Amino acid sequence: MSSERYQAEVLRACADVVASPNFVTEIRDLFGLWDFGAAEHTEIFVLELIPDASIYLTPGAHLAGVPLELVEGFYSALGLDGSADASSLSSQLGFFASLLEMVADNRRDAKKLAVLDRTRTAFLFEHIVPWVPVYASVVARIAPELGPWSSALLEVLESQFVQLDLKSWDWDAAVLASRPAFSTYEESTLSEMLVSPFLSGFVLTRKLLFSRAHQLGLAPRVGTRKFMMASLLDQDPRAAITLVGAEAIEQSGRWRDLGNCFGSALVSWEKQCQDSLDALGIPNRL
Amino acid sequence: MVKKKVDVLTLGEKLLQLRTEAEARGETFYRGASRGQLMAFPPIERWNDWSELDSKAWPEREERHYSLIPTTCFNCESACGLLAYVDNETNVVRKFEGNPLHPGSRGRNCAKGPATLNQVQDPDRILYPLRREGARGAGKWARVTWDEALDDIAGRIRKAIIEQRTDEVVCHIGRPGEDGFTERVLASWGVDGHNSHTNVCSSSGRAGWHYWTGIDRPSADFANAKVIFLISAHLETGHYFNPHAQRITEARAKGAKLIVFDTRLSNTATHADYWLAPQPGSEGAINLSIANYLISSKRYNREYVKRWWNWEEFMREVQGVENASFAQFEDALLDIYSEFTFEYAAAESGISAEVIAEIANVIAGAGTALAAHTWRSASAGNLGGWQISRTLLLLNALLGAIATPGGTFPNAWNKFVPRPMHIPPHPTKWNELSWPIEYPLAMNELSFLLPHFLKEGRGKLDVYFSRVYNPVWTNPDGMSWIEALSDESKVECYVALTPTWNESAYFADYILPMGHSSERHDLTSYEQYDGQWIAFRQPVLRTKANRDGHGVTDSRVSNPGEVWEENEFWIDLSWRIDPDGSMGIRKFYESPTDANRMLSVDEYYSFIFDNSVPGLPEAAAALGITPLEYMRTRGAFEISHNVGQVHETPLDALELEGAVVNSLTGRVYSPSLKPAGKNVVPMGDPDVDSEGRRPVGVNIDGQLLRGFPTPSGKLEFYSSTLAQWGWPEHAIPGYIKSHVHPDNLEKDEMVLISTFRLPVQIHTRSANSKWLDEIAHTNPLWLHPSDALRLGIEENSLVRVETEIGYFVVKPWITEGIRPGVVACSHHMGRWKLHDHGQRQLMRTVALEHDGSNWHLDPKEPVKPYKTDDPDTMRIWWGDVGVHQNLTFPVHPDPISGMHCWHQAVKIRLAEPDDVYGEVYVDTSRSTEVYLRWLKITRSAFEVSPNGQRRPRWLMRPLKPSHDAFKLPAQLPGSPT
Repeated sequence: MSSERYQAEVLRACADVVASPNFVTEIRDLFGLWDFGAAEHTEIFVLELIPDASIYLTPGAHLAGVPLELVEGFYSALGLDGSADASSLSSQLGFFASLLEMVADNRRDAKKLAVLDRTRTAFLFEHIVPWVPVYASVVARIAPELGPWSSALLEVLESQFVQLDLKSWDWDAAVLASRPAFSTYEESTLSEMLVSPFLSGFVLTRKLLFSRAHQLGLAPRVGTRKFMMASLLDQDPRAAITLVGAEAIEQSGRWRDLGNCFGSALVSWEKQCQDSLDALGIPNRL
Repeated sequence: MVKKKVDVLTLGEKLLQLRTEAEARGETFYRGASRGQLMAFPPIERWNDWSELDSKAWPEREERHYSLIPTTCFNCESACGLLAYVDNETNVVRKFEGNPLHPGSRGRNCAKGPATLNQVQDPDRILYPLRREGARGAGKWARVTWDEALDDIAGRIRKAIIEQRTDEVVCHIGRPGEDGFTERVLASWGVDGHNSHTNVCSSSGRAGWHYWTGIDRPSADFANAKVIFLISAHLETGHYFNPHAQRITEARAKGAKLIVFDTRLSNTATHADYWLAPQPGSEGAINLSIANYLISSKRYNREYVKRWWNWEEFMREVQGVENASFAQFEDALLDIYSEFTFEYAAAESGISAEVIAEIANVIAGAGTALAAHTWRSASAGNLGGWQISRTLLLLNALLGAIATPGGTFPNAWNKFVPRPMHIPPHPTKWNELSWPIEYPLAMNELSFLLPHFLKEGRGKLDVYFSRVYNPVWTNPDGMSWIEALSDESKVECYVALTPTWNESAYFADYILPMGHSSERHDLTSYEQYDGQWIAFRQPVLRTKANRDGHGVTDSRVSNPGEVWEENEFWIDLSWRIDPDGSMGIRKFYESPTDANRMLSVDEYYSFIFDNSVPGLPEAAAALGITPLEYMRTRGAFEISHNVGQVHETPLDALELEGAVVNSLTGRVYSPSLKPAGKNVVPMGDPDVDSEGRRPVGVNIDGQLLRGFPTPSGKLEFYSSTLAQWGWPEHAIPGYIKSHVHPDNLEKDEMVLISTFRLPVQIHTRSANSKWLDEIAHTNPLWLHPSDALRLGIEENSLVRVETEIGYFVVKPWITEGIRPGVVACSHHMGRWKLHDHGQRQLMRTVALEHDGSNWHLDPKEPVKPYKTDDPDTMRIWWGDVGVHQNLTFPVHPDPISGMHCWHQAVKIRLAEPDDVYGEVYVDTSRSTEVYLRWLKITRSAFEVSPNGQRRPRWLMRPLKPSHDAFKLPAQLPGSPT
């Protein structure tokens, strides 16, 4: 049995964990998710970290938009019918798993294999790596029980990245190439910008905001991340910025480490973090 | 660094092993998105016990368990797949969602599908058989038993059959149920009594396709098209809009161009790359100018035209040239259409020549991937509308885009009607009331003229069924219908088979409640892509009860009240007509295992699924279940896809044995008997040759191929049928100026377009859906601002719309989304009730008064909140339910297709101070005058029949009588010689 088939299976299992709280006991056992029930699933994948590229790759952090159009265009170019949530993590992993299975099935057909390699290279570089390593990393941080899930996912992606020799590529994926700089901002839009991972370069979840705020003695009001951020800025702008800065520095370091595995995409995230820190006037070491 | 080293290969190996084991047990391993396209749906392995949190219990987390039982929607004709979520605890349907296994709709539905729940739970629905008490229309009803109703009706029919008055029994069909079922019931009685609604719907659209291909419907392969050309609002409301719209959307995502002709800015038009709003009726002129461009610029598919058009017959019969060359035909073709320049089309349509030239170029670029479609719209609106669909198909025929990927197929190739246990013989007596002598080429029954025929004394009806149909409301000239249905000497017994109250049912003698989509059986198959499938409508609570071991064999047991289904009703009624079998009827309804027992629906469908659906028994066997169980659990089965060009198929050995090729025409005739194929889909049935051999194919360049079911076996550019049956001037695709052509309008007249649907409603079928009613409940008159200014009409004005026979009073909607000089009003609204009985969410209460032939519909009570067990009925916030405009339309039967030509020449003005919104005045004596005027332009079979028959026998007819019945009588019964 080829390694691609096993890797595909891991990706499918990872996708299934994200897609529904009803994943089978066997997967629960393998990832050690015995206590990860429907409520926990909702907490992480609905309320905290929506598993969709568009949240992380659009300035407004909204569903749909350019990442969805790009991935739909990719499917369309292959003559495939895109699903309604083509930019979701489960869709993307499911599709990439299918590619791996096709690779396994066509080991002896060099022509087909070349086409498949080009396809998975493009999909991995353009659609997965721009956001999934960041996403998986934050998931593991705020939900330690999902650590094995995150590690398995990153492991497969990294091995693919290495196998396809993408590490040496020093240009950005299309969606990252158009990333606006966080150089100037207005106070009225600051909270919105800070909770946009695409603009800020870091991911602020509700849990992280609570945790950091408590450390600083602040009491965020419960609501959307934007609302929470705005309430912190209202209470104590300086402390709130300090909070954000601490998180940006923390995550910047994570992206640097991940960059060793995933190359230019993570460099973009690290740079965005640094730019945000500069724009907010925060030294990169608090 | 968060990442820890994981041995993913070992992990993957374990996962693969576990998955293989789970799937071997028939379980779903991956339950989420990795299942690809079905990710939005519960996996079928869990349809017997699917759990969801109860949204109404929020914030409590109450888990509910459901059985998911497939059926199909019964609102429009698409028959999209539904899944009924039946609560395992209460056995109540909690919701309907899409069935992902349905090949046509693929799990998707429009608003009307889920709204089936409202129809099932409608507090105003009819739950028991009712018999009239007092005068017809008086609104007094008594509950009767099914036995009482069935015995009375069966007795009448039995007597009529014995007395050879079979033409006095008629069944008028609205929403189609199962393909051919009612036709076969009537045939088993020996009654030529099938009366479809098709002549107020799609006859002209069909005629255009039928003359070309011998098959009367298009099946466009939208998903693979390069260019999609719609003369309709097809993306939002057409046949079969949900399955088609999703494929049009896919094609557009792949870069296909969408051209839409629609005088209104419909939702479809808003999605078009090219939206053209032509003068109503001019669409054919535009089509011909595009054809002229394709021909004159030599951008047509010469090889295809040469192979498949009957150009040799045209040259021989019309041009008088024997053995003509193709080049000679090309010269003739160029000449014939040369007058249809872009400038000519521009003058007719009001669209600039440059725009028409641009879309002509786009169409030329489509090659064999032009998907064209029209169904009602312009075809249904205009005198000669059938030439609009015919000229549309001319473009496909020129490009060779027939049955190609992305092209347009004859529907019979994308449809599968499985052969049932019995096909009764053809009735022997012709029904003059449905197929009058004046309309020998009518595509369907002249059902909308029935009141006029009855008034003229052409006959009477002993038993008249309307089946999920509302003739008073739906047809033009509804007041004449009321007059006819109120007259017990003309209609002796009127039986309304309907799930809900309607305007016609008030004049019935019996109202018999029939089930909605989740309460009845039907087997359907529709052309929705290049493939063939069947889908199964079933009473879901009955299926659920049987899964639970209750052994229900009568749908009345599981349906609300005593609501029944038609299949069991017709079987029971037929058995009662012929209880001892002496009339030869009962044999069609006996159990195959016990002739003394009535055929059950399980036996009926088991036969079909076991014997007539290729691949289904094997697919069922692979799952270890019976074919019937397969359909009860999955709801649909795809028989084939990528059917392709059937006409290019070589003839098989059996057909070739003893076959002869007509040296003049190339038609291949075979002495072999027609095999009893599994697919009995209707299509043209060309005549046998002088030796009695049947036509099976055609010689194309030395190859004996299947061809088309036309007299020539080819695509009939030239219709010898039209030429020989009195209409030689229309024997090729051409342009007929509409009855609402500007040349035919008086100075102060405008064209009223009345045929368009509202996307979330469907005729009178959906009025008992509260969700749909809240979205759409009125039908203002679309009026261009320039016309409003000219007429002094403002947004808050009331408008009087005057037709040839009366007027209606309506509210205006002033919008630039309509062509100046044209007004439009949807036919979906203006529901009314006379008494307390009725559907109170969308039917206003009216008084219906008349003085001789002058009728007045007077609105009395608007719709308002009312108390029921459903708290939503107290939340009704709308009172305006629109205007019933069809009452004011006289009949306009096209002399060839028989289609009612819906567009009206109207005068628009401000309403008088005493006018009341929603009121209608009609003078039925003027209706009669208009009817007689249109009758005069017909060419009776007595005058034009070339062969002593009433009608070309090869043309399709829903219920075809025997050969002898086609013989032209010396005179009609009861008429002067």
